[in-house]
Amino acid sequence: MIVGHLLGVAHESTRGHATLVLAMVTGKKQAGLAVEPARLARARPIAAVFMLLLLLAIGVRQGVALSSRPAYGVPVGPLDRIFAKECGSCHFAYPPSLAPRIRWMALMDGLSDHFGEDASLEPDVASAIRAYLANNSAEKWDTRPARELALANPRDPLRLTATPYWTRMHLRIPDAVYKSRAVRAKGACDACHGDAATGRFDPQAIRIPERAFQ
Amino acid sequence: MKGTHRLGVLLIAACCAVTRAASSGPQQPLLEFYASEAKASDPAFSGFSAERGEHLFRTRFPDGKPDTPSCTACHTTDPRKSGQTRAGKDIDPMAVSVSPKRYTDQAKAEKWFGRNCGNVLGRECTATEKGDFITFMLSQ
Repeated sequence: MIVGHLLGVAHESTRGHATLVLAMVTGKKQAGLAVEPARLARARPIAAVFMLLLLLAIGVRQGVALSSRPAYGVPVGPLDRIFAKECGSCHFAYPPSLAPRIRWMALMDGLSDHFGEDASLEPDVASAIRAYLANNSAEKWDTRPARELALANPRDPLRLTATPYWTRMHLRIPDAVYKSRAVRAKGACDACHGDAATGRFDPQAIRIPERAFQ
Repeated sequence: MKGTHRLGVLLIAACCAVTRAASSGPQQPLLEFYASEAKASDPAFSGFSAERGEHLFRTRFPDGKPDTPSCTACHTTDPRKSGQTRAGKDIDPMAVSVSPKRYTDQAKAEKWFGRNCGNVLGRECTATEKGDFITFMLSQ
């Protein structure tokens, strides 16, 4: 782009606008100098159509290739195996991007009373999960839930479904939906969010099961 | 030649069936482990009981966590049916007839007895209680 502009300036200068560069500084151009009139070019429709098709082909190809890539910072890789097994046996295995590091560490410190249940782990399993969470917590990702869920509810600081953002986003969902057999719990993200396991939570991927309203 | 081969397979299958019936299956090592623990802590120990196990399974205990007063709170009153955690996940049935792989992994059994005895009873379970529980589930 820059090279094209410079070449254009050089070309115009040789065609008679000797003062073009100076005009960029002073803002004044010499008027009335004989500039050879541009020759009329013949329309070349076949070449034009060919060029258009070529651009279209390249554009579509690039567009498809780029849109199939994950967006920057979006966690799409599979969850750590140990984490998914240990944390996913009682509840949906929340992707680590859904809470900041400090909250994960507080959760891991309190496993013997984990939201009213003993969820203790063997020390080696616990330390493997701690390391995974520390390396993949909300700070590491550029997704909306990662940013917004970082703000905790001071009255229930560890609970994801108590955060102001979660509450605001689910204001219009009646409680009966969470109690339904199709959803079962507030924390069962994957019941409605098709991309919950990635932590992305795209609005386009929401589908509340119809049975939840019956 | 083919006939002999078939006969061999049949013999092996028959042998396996007999051994399985005699040792009552892959839960045996864990039961033996709890039996030896029970004997060590109580010399008068004289075997596990499915009735005691069923009583343990159905009793409501006052000292556990408020959301889980009994095993049946999550596992339902029918051990052959799937249960549900408080967070909404399915729990495979506890009965061995429906979930034959249960009570075959000592580390897994210890992990869940360790957690859930605390949740429901508010204390650790004894080896006798664990063996009774498994014996009840083997009968289901």
